[in-house]
Amino acid sequence: MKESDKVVVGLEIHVGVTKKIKTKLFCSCALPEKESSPNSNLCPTCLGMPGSKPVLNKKVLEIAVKLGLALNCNIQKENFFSRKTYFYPDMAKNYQITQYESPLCINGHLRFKDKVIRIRRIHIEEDPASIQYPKEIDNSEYCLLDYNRSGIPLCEIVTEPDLSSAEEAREFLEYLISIIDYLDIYDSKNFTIRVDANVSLPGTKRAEIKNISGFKAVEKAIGFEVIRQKGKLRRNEEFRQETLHFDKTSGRIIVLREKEFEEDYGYIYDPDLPKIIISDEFVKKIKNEIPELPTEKIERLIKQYNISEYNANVLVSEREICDLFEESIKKVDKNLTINFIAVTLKKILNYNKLKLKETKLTNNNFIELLQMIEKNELTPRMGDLLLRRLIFTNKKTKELADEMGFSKINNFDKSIERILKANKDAVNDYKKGSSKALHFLIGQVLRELKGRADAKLIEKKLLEKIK
Amino acid sequence: MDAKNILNEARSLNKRYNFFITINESFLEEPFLKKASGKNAKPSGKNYNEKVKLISVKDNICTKGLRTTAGSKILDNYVPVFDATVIEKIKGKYGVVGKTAMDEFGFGSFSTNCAFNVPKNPLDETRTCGGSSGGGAGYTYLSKYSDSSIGESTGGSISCPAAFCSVVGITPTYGLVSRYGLIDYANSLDKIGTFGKTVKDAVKLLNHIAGYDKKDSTSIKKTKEDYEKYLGKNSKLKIGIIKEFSNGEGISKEVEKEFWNGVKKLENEGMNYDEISFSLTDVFIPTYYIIAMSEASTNLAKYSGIRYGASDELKGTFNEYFSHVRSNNFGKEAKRRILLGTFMRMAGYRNAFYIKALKIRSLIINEYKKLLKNYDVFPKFSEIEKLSPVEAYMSDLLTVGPNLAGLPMISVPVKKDRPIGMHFIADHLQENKIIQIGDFYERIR
Ligand SMILES: [Zn+2]
Repeated sequence: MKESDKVVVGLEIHVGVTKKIKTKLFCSCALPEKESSPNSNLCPTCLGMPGSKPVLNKKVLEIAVKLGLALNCNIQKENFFSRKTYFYPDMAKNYQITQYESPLCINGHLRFKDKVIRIRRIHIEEDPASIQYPKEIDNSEYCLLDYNRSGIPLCEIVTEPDLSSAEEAREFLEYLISIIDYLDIYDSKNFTIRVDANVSLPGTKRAEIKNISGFKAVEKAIGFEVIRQKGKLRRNEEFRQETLHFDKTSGRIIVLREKEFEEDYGYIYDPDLPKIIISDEFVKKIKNEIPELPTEKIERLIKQYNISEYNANVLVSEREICDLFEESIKKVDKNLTINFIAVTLKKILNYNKLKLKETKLTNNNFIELLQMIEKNELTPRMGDLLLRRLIFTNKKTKELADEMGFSKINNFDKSIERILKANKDAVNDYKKGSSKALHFLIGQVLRELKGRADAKLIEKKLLEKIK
Repeated sequence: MDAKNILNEARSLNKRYNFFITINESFLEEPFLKKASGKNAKPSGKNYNEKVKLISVKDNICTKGLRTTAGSKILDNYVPVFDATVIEKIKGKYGVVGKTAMDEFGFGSFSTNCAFNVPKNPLDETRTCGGSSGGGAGYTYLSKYSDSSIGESTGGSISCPAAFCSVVGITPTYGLVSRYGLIDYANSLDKIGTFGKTVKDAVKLLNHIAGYDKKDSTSIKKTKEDYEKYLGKNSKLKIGIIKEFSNGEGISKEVEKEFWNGVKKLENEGMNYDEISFSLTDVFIPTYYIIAMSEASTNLAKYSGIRYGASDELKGTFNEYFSHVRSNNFGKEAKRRILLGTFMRMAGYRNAFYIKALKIRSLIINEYKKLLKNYDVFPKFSEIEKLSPVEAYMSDLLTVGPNLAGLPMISVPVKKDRPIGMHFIADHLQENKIIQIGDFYERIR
């Protein structure tokens, strides 16, 4: 690799950890949903009204500690909140309550492919309001503020600059999100993960692309920035530390500000919030609550069920898929189950761009489907067609199978007699040795039965009759 | 009694003394007046319920629907949408006559850094009320109808005006009274407390507003105490007098004389005192001002003309807009404290100022705690005399120590109608001791 191709990327990942909580970080406002009308989930505290005071939602501490332990961090004993003061229209108070100075979790790491990505820190902070620009950030005449987001608890995960390409950054984020999904702390329906990416090349200065949402966009933005920096290198231009914005729609990198120095936020301890002591027992308790994570799970699945690494990877791609597998094989054949999950179910999910947990498929319905196949009541083809609809319905498998006319027919002697009578030429052809003629006859029977019988069984019965 | 008289008195006192920033003109429609005249009757001033007492409230405490400016032009039109916890707690027991004059955001010791009119001392109109809770102390002294008031102290803003206006001022332990709804000056120092014509009046109001509040994370969890039961007691307390404050340096002869008179009177009643030494008195002032200004400069950031603070013609960039709003609407002292406070928490200066001040603050607290193991109360005097900003800051020398340490204190006039206060300080949550000795002193003075 050429020296100039050594891309250095570090990420700051803002995750709204709202899945298991009911209220915002410092007030009792309910968490807004995607459909909530703007500025509808507000109170004096998350609006920063004069005289209002923050009260910590302690549940968020548990969640942050859980995340820290899953990413192999040390949990700090003594914690406090700070005020990060800067003037920006999305902050009602013009200071953000954050743990920047005393992060709850430090010095973690994550094994990713054949690398170790170091996690510098994870801290809790409040989300500012969201700003909506009618056009792009640098040519809008006004902007709109929605304070619903103000006060939503964020965990900011900061990596060391251990990633070395735009693609790797995207893959790392996907891996990280799978862990976060396993921890069940993030509600992807109502919140978007936002990423700041720091990018540099040998001979350039670090540029920070702020506030990118969507992992594909992260990959694109970093890719564009690498090209921009290479261009500047080629033209021998001077580098300054820059803060950038990536406009998703136009795919443009916009320079927000050039900074000679690190911004100075004049941190002080937030005197409205007392110190928090995290006890060893607390950490221990949370440790016990952490579910088995993907890496350990893959190892266990291969060992315990003697399945291929490829299949194990497919199974852990989603916590719910693995649960479905382990539930199913208690009652159904292992190979049938794996095949149906790794091929059929995965194909259907990918086609619909859905995760299993976003569908209506229940474990019971899936198991029943497999059992019907096992008992020859359904053909695999029918199972496939049935599953395509099962993921969108609350109906039971049997009910839907009947509705779709999918109950298998085992007694079809009358159909065979009818087909043989109507196709005497074909019978004669077969008797003369044409195997094509036999296939034709099987096809005719299947057609009359609307595919609800097993082709092998039809063949067997046909041969009995012809003799 | 006719409730209209109450309003008329407030208006006429205000004309002459400027005690109020806002008089509660809808006072006559307060629900408690309605109650007094039966369910369906219309509120009428004639039906004033005598059981309901009247108070004034410092203008940095939020009152729902009633203009609250914290003494600043930048909040000139601010009407809160919620009541501070202390206001909720007094509902039905006290009616609020008006919001009292103060230094802008509490930034001052004389109620002279005012965006609105400067309140005048009820004993001598050519002098100030003391600050920053000046209006409340002056009104409490003069009003025929109101015998107590809600004030607030950051570095001495209750004791100082209490002494200047010859009323009683109680500053409780930090965290005893909820700060929810108090417009912040320096959150780690701010304490809501009371004024009274007598110790009893101040204590009665304290009884209503003290207590744990889950909306204030710094509020102390403790069982409710009836402070009135400490009135009329003759128990002997042990007194410590801090030499560094009583050696007469920088203090007027008259005040010094009154102080020792007071001490002698207590001695005659059988209370012993020792003169003791406090080693950190020379750093009280810088420690206090560094912490207070650092916190204040972040608290005032929200007044930028976007959500809070006067709004202005939308012109220029965001930075130009909010700078314009802040330059036009903050007073001189507020700007001074924002600039100094911001400087002291900036990288490069932070360790030398802000962090060091925090460390010294814990040393000061420890020294108080150590000395108070041997003594019940420390008396001091609270009075002063024309000053540069630095001299004005120095005038807080007698009050910032216990304020930094969050200790409870009471200021009682040395004699009725004299603008000199005897000031007693006790250990955390020993309101019982300051009330006992304040009440005792009031009887024997
Ligand atoms: Zn809220």
